[in-house]
Amino acid sequence: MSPRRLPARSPNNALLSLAVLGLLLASPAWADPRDEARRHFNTGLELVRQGAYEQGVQEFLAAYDLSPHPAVLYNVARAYGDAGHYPQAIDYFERYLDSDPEDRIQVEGIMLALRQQLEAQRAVAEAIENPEPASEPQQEGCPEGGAATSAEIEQLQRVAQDLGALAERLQARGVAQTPAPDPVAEVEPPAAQVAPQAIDMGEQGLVEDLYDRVVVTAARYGQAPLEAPSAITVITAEQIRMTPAASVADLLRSVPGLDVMQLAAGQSEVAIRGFNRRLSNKVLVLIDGRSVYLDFLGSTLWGSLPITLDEIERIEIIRGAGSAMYGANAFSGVVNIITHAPGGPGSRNQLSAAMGSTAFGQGSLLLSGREGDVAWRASMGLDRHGRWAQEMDLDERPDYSSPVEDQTLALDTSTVNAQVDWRLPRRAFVSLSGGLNTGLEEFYAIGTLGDFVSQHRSAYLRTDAGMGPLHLRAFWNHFDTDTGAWYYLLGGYDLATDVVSDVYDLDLAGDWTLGPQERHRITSSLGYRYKEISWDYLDGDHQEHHFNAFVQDESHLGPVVGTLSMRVDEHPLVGFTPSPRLALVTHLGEGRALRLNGGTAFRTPTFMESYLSLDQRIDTDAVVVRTVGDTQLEPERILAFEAGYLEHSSDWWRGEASGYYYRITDLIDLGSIETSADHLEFDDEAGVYRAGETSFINEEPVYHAYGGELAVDFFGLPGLDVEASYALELIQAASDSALDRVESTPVHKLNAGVIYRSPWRVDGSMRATWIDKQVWPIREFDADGQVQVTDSPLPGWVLLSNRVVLHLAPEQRLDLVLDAWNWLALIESIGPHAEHPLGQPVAARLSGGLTARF
Amino acid sequence: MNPALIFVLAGCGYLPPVDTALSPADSVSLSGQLLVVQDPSTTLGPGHVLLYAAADPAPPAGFGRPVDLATFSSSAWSESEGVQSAPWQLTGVPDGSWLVTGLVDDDGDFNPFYDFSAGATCGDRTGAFVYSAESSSPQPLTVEGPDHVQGLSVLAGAPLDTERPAFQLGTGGTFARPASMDEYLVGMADYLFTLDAVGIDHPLLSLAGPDEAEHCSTAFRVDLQDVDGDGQVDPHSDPTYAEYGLHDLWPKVYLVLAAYADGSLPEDGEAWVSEAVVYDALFLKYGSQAGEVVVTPSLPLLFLPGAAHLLPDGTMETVVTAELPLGYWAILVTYANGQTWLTPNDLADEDIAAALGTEALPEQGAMVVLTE
Repeated sequence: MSPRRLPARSPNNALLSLAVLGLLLASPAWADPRDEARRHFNTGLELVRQGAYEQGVQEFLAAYDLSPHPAVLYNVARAYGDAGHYPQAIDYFERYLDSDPEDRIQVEGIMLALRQQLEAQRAVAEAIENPEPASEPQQEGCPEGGAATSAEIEQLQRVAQDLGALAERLQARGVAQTPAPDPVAEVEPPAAQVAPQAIDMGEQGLVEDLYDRVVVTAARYGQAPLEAPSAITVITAEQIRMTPAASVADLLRSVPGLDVMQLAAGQSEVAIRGFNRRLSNKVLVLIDGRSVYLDFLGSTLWGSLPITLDEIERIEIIRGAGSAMYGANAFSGVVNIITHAPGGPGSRNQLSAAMGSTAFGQGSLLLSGREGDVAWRASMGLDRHGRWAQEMDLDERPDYSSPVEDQTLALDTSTVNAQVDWRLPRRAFVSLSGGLNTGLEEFYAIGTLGDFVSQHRSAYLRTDAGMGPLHLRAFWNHFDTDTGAWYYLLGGYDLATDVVSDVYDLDLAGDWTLGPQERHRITSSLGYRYKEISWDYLDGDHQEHHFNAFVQDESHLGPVVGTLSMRVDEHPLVGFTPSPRLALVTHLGEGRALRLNGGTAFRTPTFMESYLSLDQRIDTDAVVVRTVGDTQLEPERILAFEAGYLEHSSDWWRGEASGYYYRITDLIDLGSIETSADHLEFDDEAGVYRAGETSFINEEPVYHAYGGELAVDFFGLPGLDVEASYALELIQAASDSALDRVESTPVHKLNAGVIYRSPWRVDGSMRATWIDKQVWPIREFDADGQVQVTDSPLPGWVLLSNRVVLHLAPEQRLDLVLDAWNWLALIESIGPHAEHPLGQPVAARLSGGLTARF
Repeated sequence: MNPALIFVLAGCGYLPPVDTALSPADSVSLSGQLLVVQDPSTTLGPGHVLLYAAADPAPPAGFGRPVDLATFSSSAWSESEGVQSAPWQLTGVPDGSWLVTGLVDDDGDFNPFYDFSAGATCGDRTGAFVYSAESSSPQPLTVEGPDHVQGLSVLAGAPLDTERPAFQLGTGGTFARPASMDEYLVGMADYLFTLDAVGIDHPLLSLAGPDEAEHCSTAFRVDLQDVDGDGQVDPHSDPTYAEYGLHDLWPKVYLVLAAYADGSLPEDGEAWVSEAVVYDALFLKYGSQAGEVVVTPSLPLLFLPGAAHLLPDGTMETVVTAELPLGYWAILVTYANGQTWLTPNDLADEDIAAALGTEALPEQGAMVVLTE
């Protein structure tokens, strides 16, 4: 079905059209003030182009009030300059330069010219008001035809000095520049006939497309969402500010097609378009392009990410196979968390603290600045969430013990981050960054394992260097943890283990344009990754070397933009794996695009799946079942086709519709237990009997997944953003004998959200998520050591949350933030819901906090 | 702001609720030490601690099978002041009364998961939990959860100097059910059968043959005792067994109904147990002096036309002659120290033999058959 804009025959028809489209279209992101600002900004552009400078400036300033950006100040200054209001133009240019823009030199040149003109105007005005006596003898050295006062001469000399300094700096930077004219010679003497002249403000015109969204994850370079070859959603910093979410994973609940499942306050599992599970393993998570996916486990422990919410500039989420861009593990999508650039435009320091029910507490400090060509950012954060439930009161259960001293906390982490960027000549740069996250988190492990605790240390160091089209990136990820069962029978098996994981990654990427009219954009990269793991659940320490190569051609072929991507990964156990993708995007008019793409992706077996060697005790203390890895596993594979329609033509609403089909093979899971006589021999080294063995296997069924996402954003009323989305997911498992529906993925999901930025000192938001019922297969040992799989139904649930922000000081310098998250759980007749049969009941959170920006 | 709300916001004194849906059932953990006091310099094998229901004890007191098992490796032993000890723990023990026994498997052939290897062999050390130094006999331990009962010492004795009574059915073994006691007495000679001691050569168990000179021979050791201390071996000293068995004589030979004649099995909780008597002992061919031990490679036995019938409700009745169920009766030989041998056993199972890479032993599937 091709959604189209319906003619608005009457107001009722217009509303009806909007409602219909609201049901059919999915937005790439929540609306935010930027959308409203864009409307003002575009109006301003149009007015300025028509010569209505004053009205245009007012529109620009309205946009700036909604979403401050230094480039707006530039446009205001340009408009004033074109209108001949030089003092105002200079004033706004100066404010623009406060953001330390890259075009500082050019702007300083424009300002100099403006000042010259202004001086000339003043001189003329003064000459008119105070005409010199005609009989007064001419001063030596003065230009003929005018009389310069000593003050004027002094002013001209100062201008000349400024221009000389400017020329030197231009030369030093290698900026092509017309030699600065002799200022003294160029300056016209004041004369009664001198009128305001048009100032040459350079080739750089008004900034356009300022508030258009830019995404980088879909093609590894910046592009408009309309051009993106994949379904992509963006969560912006402003949305984060107004969302009552306390974690990155919780923010993702609003994204159509994403499954976010919290089993405990400190554990969130995120899947894209189905196949969620305890320790979800099919989504690649990046921070500024750096993988934070735990390769040894095949999952992301969101609570251990070294990042605070305040640092995030935006989150880009790609739905669909992503291996053609990012290689292994970008199986069903990519979440790329992009942080604020150090010392970036409009950046402010920020201090925030919040406390709330269920032992909730968060605090963060974000500092950012720039000194010349060096920009820096430092942050620290504390994050604490109380447990939603405990399985037992240890004071009442002398038969159990726990390695955790404080039984009330599910997550208790500390984070520090720092980044320094150097801007070098010839558009080169170097960046260094590093961070650490340490603390405790509760999680529910896979298979028959239950409630676990991880006391981890997660660290990284990263460096980036770029020059021209080349970008070199290297990083080291370290993760170590002391992990074990949260509860264990006294004298029993505590499953305690230590993990030390290190990943070293090197990537060299290039980006070129080729052909007539730069018709081809070629992007390529070569990468190497070294991984090592020391984990006593495995059969020994292991190291792996991985290599990859990537090339992509974005070709403009008439009305169609084709993006052909190919990445090849070499895995020590799996071998070479190619991942192709072809995407075609065509514009169906201004702001409308149709996208078709197809490609493959894969997920390689993790260290755990390849090398696990873990004895699990069953009911009889002396008997274990061994779970082992398999080095012969095939990677999980997905063949994906997708079609999408994007409707961005309006300044009032925006929508997107996507449909997809996936064919998935070789999913990796634990197989059944094979009992053989050999396994019942006593292992004197371990001191146990083995009743059987189970290993990871490639599942036999072929999975077929169908679905789509539909939603709309409306941002037509001042301060009001409304968003709604619907996702449909159907998954079937086809084996030789049967076609079964996979019921652990909810078929229907609905999201809705409202944000209102009032003209008073209060903003508010509400978010609602409804998830359809599910049925989960739960594996448990029976008394004989056999795994019993029980279907556990999980009823549908609703999560409703609100945030109120009170601005205690102007310009958001001091905000009071009040949250009521999942407050339906407080209603006795509803109560808390669970998001997994083994998960804890999700408790409500009432919290309040202060945020200061300075 | 309401002070109560401030309290809530601050999360002060927060205690997550106990979710009974997530709570595991109450249970008891037992832990203690397995102790060996003799031969402190001896290298000991892996240890096993077995849990039996007090109401269903292991041989020789009963026919019970362990309900839980704890093990530790041979490296777990440590020596202090002449005592070797190793820690053990049993978890998830339900409420009730239990017997805790121990076994040190120096020769590495104990394996509770096959019936033929689930017993102490010559050289193993066995013992049980005792409450105090004053009490040397196994004592039941009553527990109620949730609890963690610590410090339970299981004292293992000296190495056993007898081997398990491995046997196969010799002569006889298929009998016509007597209609009456008179009929039985008249035809008593038809109710004789013999068990022949055998050696076992198997990947999981190796027992020497019935060489009488062998220290750990499987030859039967007929042990004449005087339990009531009246100075003689009483063939009928226990009124319970006066009619059917010998109290002062070991081994005991039990016949346990394995299947009815039509192949059906007794109900859960139901058991039929008969006892065969050592024919030669009955007629004092071995002598009559208490403490005398006779070693013989072949054990002549007399089938007795009676059985104890244990019903699922826990009651027991005695049946004789025509009341005896027709069918197949397993043969269990038990020594006074708890060593046993049973046929049929897993050595006769072809599937297990195949899994273990050896040949099945059909003769280890022998049973006494009672027919019309």
